[in-house]
Amino acid sequence: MTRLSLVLAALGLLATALSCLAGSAPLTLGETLRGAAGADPAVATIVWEIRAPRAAAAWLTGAALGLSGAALQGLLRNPLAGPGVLGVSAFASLGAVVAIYFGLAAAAIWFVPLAAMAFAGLAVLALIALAGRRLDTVRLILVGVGLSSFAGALISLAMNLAPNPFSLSDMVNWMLGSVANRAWPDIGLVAPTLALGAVLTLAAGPSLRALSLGEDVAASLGAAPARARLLVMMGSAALIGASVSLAGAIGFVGVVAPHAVRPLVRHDPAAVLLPSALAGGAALALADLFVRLAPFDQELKLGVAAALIGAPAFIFIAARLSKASR
Amino acid sequence: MKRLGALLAAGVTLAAAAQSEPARPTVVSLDYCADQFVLGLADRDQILGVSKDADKAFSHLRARADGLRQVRASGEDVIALRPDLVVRSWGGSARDLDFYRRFGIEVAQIGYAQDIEGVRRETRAIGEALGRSAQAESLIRAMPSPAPRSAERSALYLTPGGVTAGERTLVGALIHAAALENGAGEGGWQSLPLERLVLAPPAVALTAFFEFDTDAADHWSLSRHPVLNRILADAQRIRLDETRLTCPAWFVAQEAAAIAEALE
Amino acid sequence: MIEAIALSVELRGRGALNNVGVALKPGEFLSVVGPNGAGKTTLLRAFAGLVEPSSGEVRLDGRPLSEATSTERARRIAYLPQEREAAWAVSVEDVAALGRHPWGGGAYRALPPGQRKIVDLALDKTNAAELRGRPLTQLSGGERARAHLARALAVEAAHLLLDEPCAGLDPRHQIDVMGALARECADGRAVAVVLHDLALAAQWCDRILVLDRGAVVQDAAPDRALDAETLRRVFGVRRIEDGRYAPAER
Repeated sequence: MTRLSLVLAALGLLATALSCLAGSAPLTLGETLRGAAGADPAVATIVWEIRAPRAAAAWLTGAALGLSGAALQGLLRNPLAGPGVLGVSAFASLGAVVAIYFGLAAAAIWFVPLAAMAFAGLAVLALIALAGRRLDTVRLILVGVGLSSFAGALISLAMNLAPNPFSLSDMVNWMLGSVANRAWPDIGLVAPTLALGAVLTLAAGPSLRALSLGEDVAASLGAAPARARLLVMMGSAALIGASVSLAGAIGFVGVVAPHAVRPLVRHDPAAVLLPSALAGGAALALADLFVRLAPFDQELKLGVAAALIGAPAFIFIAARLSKASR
Repeated sequence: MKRLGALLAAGVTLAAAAQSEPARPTVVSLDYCADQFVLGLADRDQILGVSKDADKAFSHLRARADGLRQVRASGEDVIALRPDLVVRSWGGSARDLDFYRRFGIEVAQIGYAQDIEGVRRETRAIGEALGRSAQAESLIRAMPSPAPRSAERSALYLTPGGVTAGERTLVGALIHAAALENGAGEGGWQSLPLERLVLAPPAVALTAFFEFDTDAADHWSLSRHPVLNRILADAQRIRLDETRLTCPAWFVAQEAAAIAEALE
Repeated sequence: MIEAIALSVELRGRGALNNVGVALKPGEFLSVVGPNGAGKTTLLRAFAGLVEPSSGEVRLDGRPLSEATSTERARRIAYLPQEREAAWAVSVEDVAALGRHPWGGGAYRALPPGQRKIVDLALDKTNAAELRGRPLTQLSGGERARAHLARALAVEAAHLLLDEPCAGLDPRHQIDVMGALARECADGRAVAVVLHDLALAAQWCDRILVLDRGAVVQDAAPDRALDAETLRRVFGVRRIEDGRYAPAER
């Protein structure tokens, strides 16, 4: 663990702790601390069962997106790649919506994350198949845009055919992204998948480093590009699917987090993985803290807040990229 | 000859009678809230069409929609039926409404009601537009009003999507009509303040839509939160009939009476 | 030693190599020349185990190359492709350090001192030491070529396969690169380069392999391999004085 990772981990911990201490209940800091320690069962419930799981869900979602974004960028050798841009998140949302609307969620609640992950994997497969073996940048982005629109259209179709008008607000959640009212059981449901995705993705690290000079060089260095592709694809499908089933589609974290930490790890595609995850987690935990405390009549959706900050950052990266002599 | 004269006289009398009663407009309703008013107030032969949602599970008077033509709230479908009147609360676009006016079709707009008085007002207004004021008045007279009591217990309206209703909403009015204190306070429709509920748990939980659509049990639903389930378990839980909540019609008062009865 | 035995390769249904037999021995500096599309790159990639033969085989030290593990192969054969990709602003020393990947190496600063010394040496050999902190994406073509060459040398493989190592370089850097490769040969390594510049090939290499339309035309010392007949038939040129060439009647 490098110093950068320690700092980012501490930042995430700080954001999570602040999230546990602040909220809509009219409690002073002292009351909150004493209550959380067990003096007041009601306050303990608020801190440990309402605020803590929500903060953890935000951090986990951000970390999953940051990690898969860094891995996808390394694999595709493209700083604009990411779960949202490539349509993987939209497909995961579609999977969740499909599971709900065909009644699979009622059969067993783990059908939702399973469907989200399966559809995320489907999107990655489609990307590889349609963008060609050389994973050309422009084609990839265009295919990603197409996949996003396609998934969006199918989600809209599901909303059109919604069984009643009152369930629509829940459906909007899947598209905008939110961690409001997440509880520990929700996290327990996706934790194994997140862990699996993290292990797979991190295992691809050294291969991603070798891939920075192209597939032929990587293969000649014994780094097996095909294996790296498989690891990153499976890992990203697990990470994105799990994060979407926890929080819906939250954009831009996966693109911006790796970009933010890359200069700090000397642009090493392997060393960027862990700090990118930690940065994504800290960023989303802070964003959710902001969302909860912002003085609006209605709570802002986390995905909206993430896009408000992330979209300009993404445009900035894209603009600088076209200027650089690549 | 005499008989013929009598027949003629009877015919004239009949025609005069028909003329003395104002002609009842034919009507199409554009959304399921408008459907409730039309199904409850209009004569069946006035109704040229109701909305596609009129027979859905969330439509209170769905049984009466049986056998009626159901149309989409699009301009061409409605104009093709040549009604004298359309009733709407949110159905149909602004452009369609312009078309209706051009074709001389009246538009009756159902307003927003914040209280029981508003419910009476809307019922009366739509009844008048339909030429069925007598029916409207009889429905209004039949609206039960629970015996006034002092509000002691606090109640909270709960939906699985995490929405609750404060003052200045129909549900807020319902809570007062049932002699309860509204635990959500001011602020109209709002998201459920889960943290404040833990600090001040309501004595009565008025739940709606929880068992409404079990197939679509949404993973997002607040109803799955263990903390909320504990609060619900400790409170007196009254299930509302959600079909009587979503439209400012006379049957809202029956829901208030049902709550008051459940509290006894 | 790497040998191609009756090697044929098909790419997208077209024969790229046809019944090629050639050996690359330790201490040898072999140049592969031929007109565009002759199969030079395909031969190098087959030597590196990056393309599957459609018939025949490639042997590494007497054993079929396909039987070697990817790590064994990576430690014995260093390969420099023609495309010098630079996806990230990785520093030159980190690029060179990638050469240690077959030995479990990582980023330069994370390498153990012994491995770091090997990378330093490779940077020195290619005059890339003064570039070591600079990001790959900001280098000129010649600087980038040196960084990539340092990466290939840092593998310390017994076989070096380099596709157009001098493309885009000015004359001085061409000489530097060929000189560095000649010293690798003197150390007992086998070096094979694909070159377009016939004069450069003749000047530096022990042996020249002339390919045309996927088949071996010549495999001999420079003066015999590039005789007038081959020049005319394969390249459509004739030699005039001072090692210069002019168009020839086909």
